[in-house]
Amino acid sequence: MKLGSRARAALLTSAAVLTLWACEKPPAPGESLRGLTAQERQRFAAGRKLFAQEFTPETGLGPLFNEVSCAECHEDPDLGGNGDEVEVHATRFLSDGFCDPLAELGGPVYQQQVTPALHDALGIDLEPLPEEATARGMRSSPDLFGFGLLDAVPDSALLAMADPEDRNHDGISGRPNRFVDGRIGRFGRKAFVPTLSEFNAGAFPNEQGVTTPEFPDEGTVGGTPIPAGIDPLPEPEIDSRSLALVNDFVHFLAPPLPGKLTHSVRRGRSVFQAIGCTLCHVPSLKTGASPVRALAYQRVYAYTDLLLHDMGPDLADICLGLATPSEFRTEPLMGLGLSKTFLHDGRTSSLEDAVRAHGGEAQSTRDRFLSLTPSQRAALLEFLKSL
Amino acid sequence: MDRWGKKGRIAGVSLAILMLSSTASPAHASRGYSSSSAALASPPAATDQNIPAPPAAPLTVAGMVFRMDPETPRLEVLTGVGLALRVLRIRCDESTLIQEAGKQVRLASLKRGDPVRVTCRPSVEGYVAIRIEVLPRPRAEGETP
Repeated sequence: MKLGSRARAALLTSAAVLTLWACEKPPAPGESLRGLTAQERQRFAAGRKLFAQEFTPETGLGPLFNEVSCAECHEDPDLGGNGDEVEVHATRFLSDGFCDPLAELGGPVYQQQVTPALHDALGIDLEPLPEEATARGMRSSPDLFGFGLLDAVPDSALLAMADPEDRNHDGISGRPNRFVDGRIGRFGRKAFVPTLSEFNAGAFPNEQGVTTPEFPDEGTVGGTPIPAGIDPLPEPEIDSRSLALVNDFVHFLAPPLPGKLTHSVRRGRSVFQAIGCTLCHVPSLKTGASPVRALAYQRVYAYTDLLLHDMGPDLADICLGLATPSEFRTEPLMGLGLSKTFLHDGRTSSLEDAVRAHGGEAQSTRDRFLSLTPSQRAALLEFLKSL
Repeated sequence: MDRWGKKGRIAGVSLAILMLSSTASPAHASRGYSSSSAALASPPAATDQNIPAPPAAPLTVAGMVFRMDPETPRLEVLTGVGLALRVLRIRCDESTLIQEAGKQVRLASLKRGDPVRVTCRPSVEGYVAIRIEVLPRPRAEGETP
């Protein structure tokens, strides 16, 4: 049976529309995930504006703060990206292995700026570190692309990868960190915070001095109450609705698109696996159920296991939760090609130096990297830059 | 002119169907994230501008035993959200119910680092614990306590 000309035209039009939709341009850095509903896209756009909003003392900034907006630290190459700001954390690691985050003394995040009113009252330019701190850690600002997908990976996936006693004798013994209430953590360089929403909710008071419904007090200056009248705005300084919109923006940021899979990149990927990098930098994780369809049951090529690993004494700084000073969460490598500095403190602009700095559990893999031929090493670095 | 050809059309439609099927997964409850609200998995807020709490309303927080003194008797709980942490000082009295795995335990049996959920009421002398529940925590295979 032959199709009529109208039926053929309709079929061709449908196929064209579907093909165009299927070949939709992938999201650029700072754009939203594909597959969001119209309402979710609206919330992403509204959250994006709030993410870029600059606070002033009159709108809630400070009195202690690191920057005036979220975007100030997450701006490159677009909103939600990385930044060149480096902040200061400090904790106290006790001889019995307990980690005191110095919460009574202003920790663990020590703000590097103060409002003019606080400066005038106390004569300080930043929050001083307490004598009780046993270590100080510098923290660079990572990009947040694809973090909503990391948030949607079930705890069970992390627990399935954990091998704290190294029972499989591969030299790698990842373990999950725990938040103060015992839940499994995954966000932050020490994998302390369980969810992205909580990380964001904690970032407002810590980074901008903006109080939230979940954290409605301004804290202290190193344990000393903030002088009266310095920050007269009533708490909370941001409402639940605004916080939810910022959360949506961050959750819905698309993961970065990997670079072209050239012959050299493909070769580097093989080398990356062959020398053991993938034992911790697990290539992909699968998300679980989510009320957001675009986040549910997706594979995210993050190159992390979100677990803690001993990285050796040269990288060691603060403790946090169960993480000892030398333990760090496997850094997600997705978006590495967008970074200008590397490692948790941004200490180097050389990717090769960052690999060389790996110690502890990663030392044997690092040694295998050092024994690669120049072309193998170049291919591996090219692969990393493609992520 | 048919620019795509039959194979191109089939490939396009197949790709579209594949993409549709990959995004049509059921959406059940997540680990706590909700698109329409902050939905924090943290303890109920002490203050919420939408639901103004009266001054005497009980406060429930989840956190970790930070310090404990059975003599006074007092408990300090490390709590907070994200990296914004604080220590909540709570007084206990004879009516404070302390439970672990459904069984009543003594304050002295709590150890630093134990995850707890505490419901307390504000008083002129600070918070007074109504109920302290020692929380269980899931463990990975081989994970040491």
